[in-house]
Amino acid sequence: MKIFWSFIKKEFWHVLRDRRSMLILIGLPVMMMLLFGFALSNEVKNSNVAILDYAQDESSRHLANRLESSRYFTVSDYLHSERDRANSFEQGKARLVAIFPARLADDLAHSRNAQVRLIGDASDPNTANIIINYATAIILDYQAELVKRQNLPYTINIETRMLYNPQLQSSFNFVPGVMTLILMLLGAMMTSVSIVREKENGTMEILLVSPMRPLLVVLSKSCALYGIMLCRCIDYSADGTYRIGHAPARQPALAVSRKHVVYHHYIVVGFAHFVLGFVAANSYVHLISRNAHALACFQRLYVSHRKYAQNHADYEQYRTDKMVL
Amino acid sequence: MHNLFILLQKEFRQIFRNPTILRLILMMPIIQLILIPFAADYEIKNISFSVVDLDHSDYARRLVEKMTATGYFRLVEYGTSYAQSLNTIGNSQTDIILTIPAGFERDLVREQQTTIHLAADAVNGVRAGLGTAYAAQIIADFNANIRSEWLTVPQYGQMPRIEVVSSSWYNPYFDYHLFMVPGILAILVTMVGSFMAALNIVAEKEAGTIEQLNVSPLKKHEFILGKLIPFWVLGLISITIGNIVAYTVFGIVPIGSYWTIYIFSAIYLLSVLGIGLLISTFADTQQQATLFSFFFMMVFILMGGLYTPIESMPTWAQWIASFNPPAYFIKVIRAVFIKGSTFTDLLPDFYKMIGFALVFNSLAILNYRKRSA
Repeated sequence: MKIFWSFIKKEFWHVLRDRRSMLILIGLPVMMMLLFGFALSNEVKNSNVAILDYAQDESSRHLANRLESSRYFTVSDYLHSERDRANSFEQGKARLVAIFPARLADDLAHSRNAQVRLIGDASDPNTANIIINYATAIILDYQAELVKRQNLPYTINIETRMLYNPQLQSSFNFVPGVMTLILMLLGAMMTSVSIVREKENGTMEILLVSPMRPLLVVLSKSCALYGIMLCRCIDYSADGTYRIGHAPARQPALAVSRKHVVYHHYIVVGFAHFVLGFVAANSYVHLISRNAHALACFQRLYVSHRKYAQNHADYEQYRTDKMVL
Repeated sequence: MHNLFILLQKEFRQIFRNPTILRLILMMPIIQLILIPFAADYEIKNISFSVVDLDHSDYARRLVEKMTATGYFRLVEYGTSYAQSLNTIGNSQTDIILTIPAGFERDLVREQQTTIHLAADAVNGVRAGLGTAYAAQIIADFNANIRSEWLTVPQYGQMPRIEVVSSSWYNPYFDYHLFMVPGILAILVTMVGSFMAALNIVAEKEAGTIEQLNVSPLKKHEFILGKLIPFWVLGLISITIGNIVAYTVFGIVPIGSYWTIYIFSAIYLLSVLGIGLLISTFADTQQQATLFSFFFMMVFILMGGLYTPIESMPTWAQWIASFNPPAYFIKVIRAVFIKGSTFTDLLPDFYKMIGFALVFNSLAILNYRKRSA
């Protein structure tokens, strides 16, 4: 046990005294969290809309203004003919084209019925769908204003409530995901690098002839890195709370997410050793194959971030339930 | 020129005698293209919903039937109370709870209006937003049906009505693979280009053979070109394999021309190879090169608009993304594949890519030192 302990200490010193790996362990994740926590989002805002206005009258201008003034849209272009419309999609200048028919205001005033066309660029399916929905809502809102709140008979009103995340901020979804990803990359990388480095330096031989069993050698490496990574998790939560403002703010969730992180870590570190088991001295092959893994990692991100979100949801539910009760 | 030729010969032999690289070039496109589009599928379908029906009336049942009949929604639970259904949301079994209040039918007929409650699990905002929007559409439709049962709506009513007709171009069935596959092709080229080139030079550094190259009469640019051209060829090969996989597995062929794709790939490969070479001039060991590469790859992919649209990033992040070569290539390759954009449509992106290629490669040449420090 004493020998095992000293091995763990040795591993700690390895990491702590290597300035470059400390930089990677501490600097890189913080930077990435900041970058991706703020930058990544699925929310649709400031989407470019091109307007093809055959009407050029009061109503069409009202509608265009409404689109422009919502935070979802920016009117990027006024088109003049049907031909421009395909161009603006193909050059990627607009995601939505709104077409107002000729005599829009007249039709609304007299025949009381007018048709507005919306064409979305569905090469990005979800975004197109959301944009069309928003635009439709804005136009119908204008209609409601024209009607001036006259109640239709037999109306079913819909009351919608977005649980856990009322503003539909996608950082709730992404921040935990990115955390998982970084932990995964670092965990797998640091452990495998630490063993490969011993092989390269030839110090592996020394470890092999030591009284320790190989299993314990590997175990001591995991323990050390495991400890360091756990510290990282704590400062992730701190990152999240202070900078992104989304991390769990109260105890229960903190405990839950911490627990989850620990499990995740355990898997990751284990995985790294598993990979190493197959890696011969040929580190070149190994490094390249790890690159090929990079994208597989991303796929894992989308598997595991669900679980993270799940934890978060549990906590939020706990909170809402408390509020309701 | 002769020198360059000999160096090229050497590089190609080195690559073709290394089975790992060959396997990687061959298998990477196939595996990535087959695996990732299925894994990273954001298509919103099969939204599961639970119903809390406190009314048990004819209308309530008809509404639920209408919801399930559309195919968007999957009824997972017929709950007895909202609190109980909230639990199923907590376990991620349901996405949406539809609560039909007691007296729903009575209120609708007598009071002329009633309220229905929708609660969505908004942890995934997109899913929640789209799910409730679909549900609202279905309910509005149901409402219109009910109304027409009770009254005949005059054709020229008193109220002005704007009818919104929407259509989705290029991908009317919202097929998510059509969106993902070209993007992954772009990432593929990026990986082949930047990392294999970076690791290749660093491997020479580690093996010590770089000294031999340094004392050879090779010029700097000949050396860089000699390293660049083989991987440029490999990159083009892997995108060809990617195209074949996209066609055979997903049936996706570009609406635009293959020429446009290859012209852009050729230029884009030059710029990512430049990045790879630049990394290799900084890194001394393969470890460092891999770490750098990992970092760049994450930034490239996540800031490149592969998963999340660039417009929805904050302004400073968009500014960073505008210096991200893959962002342009992902945009271009998607445009050509899905929308059939022509070369002239994409001319501005073409100039930018040439700019990237020039900048990165000249930096790599400048930064490569024959003299050891």
